[in-house]
Amino acid sequence: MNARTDTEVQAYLDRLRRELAGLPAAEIEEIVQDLEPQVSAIAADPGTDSLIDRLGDPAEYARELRSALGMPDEPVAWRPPPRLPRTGLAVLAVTTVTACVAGYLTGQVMANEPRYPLLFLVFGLFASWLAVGRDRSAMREITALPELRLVKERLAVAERHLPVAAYLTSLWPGMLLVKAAFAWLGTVWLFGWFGWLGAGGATAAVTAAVLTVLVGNRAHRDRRWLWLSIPLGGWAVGVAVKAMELLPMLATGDHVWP
Amino acid sequence: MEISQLLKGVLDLAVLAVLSDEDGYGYDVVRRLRQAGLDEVGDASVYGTLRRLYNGGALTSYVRPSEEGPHRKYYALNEVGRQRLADGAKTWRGFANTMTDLLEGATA
Repeated sequence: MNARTDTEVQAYLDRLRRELAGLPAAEIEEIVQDLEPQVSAIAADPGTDSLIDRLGDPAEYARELRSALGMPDEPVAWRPPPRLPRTGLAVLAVTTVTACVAGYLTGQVMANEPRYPLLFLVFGLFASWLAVGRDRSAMREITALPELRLVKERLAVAERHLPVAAYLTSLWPGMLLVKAAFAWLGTVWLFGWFGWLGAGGATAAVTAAVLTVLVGNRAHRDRRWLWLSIPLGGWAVGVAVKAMELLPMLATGDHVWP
Repeated sequence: MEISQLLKGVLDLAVLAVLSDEDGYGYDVVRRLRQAGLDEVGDASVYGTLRRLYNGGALTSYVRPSEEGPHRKYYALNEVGRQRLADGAKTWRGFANTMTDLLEGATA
């Protein structure tokens, strides 16, 4: 199937999804998932000029489908599309930024500071789990958002045309290890703050690193785990930025310990 | 009289009959109905009917990988579906005979 039909299929299914508003969300998702191969097959058929010529307008298709399903013809009242995927995306973004700031501040010299973003982070992670981690369809709905789909399409195109992009993607297991290393460093800093740098701190830091790898791998297969994997990435980036800042001190022999 | 009007009442039966030959996925069922002569059958009606029959317990479904793209959901008759097909066929034959007699009388 070429890119043109792929875009056309997605546009058709998006409109159909909207036209089915009023049915239970899970039902709509299942219907759209069922129909995707069918609509793709029709789009790929050389005899098909346009999907609308072949299948009818999505509004008409939805009306016929409702009738065949034995459902009321029209939604009782027009409802705006559910905002839930956008809320989920926002929660994930805010949590990730909070994790990034927390990671950075963990390596900060002034006492007490790391604790405040950490408190926010706990709430953020809980919200992220609620919004993304509990429900298999949540991440699917989020990645179906037009803004993310556009990013995904651009990335796919880049991967096809730029060998560098494909190479970067192939590096992900290595990136995961780097992420785990910074999770380890961040946890060492964090426990340092609380003065628990004994065996307990070391165990916690190693646990954090192992957990990062496990969660990252899991999220690769089961998108629900992105609720934790993405914020962990934010945390690792924050720690990494602070570590870069501290590197010159190492060179000059100043104290490296925050 | 519009065939599409007539189809509404018997699409369940037509879909069950097609599936009694061989399991099928949505688009395939549409194709087989059209090949059989029901040119006016709509994709959405067939898919909605498959889904309603499945929700009503007359069909089972399973997913089979496809060489051309995403996995396909196949539908198959189960015992309830076979029973419904047998009952429906009996009702239809009785109804069709009555209508034929009625029309023959009217045109004679």
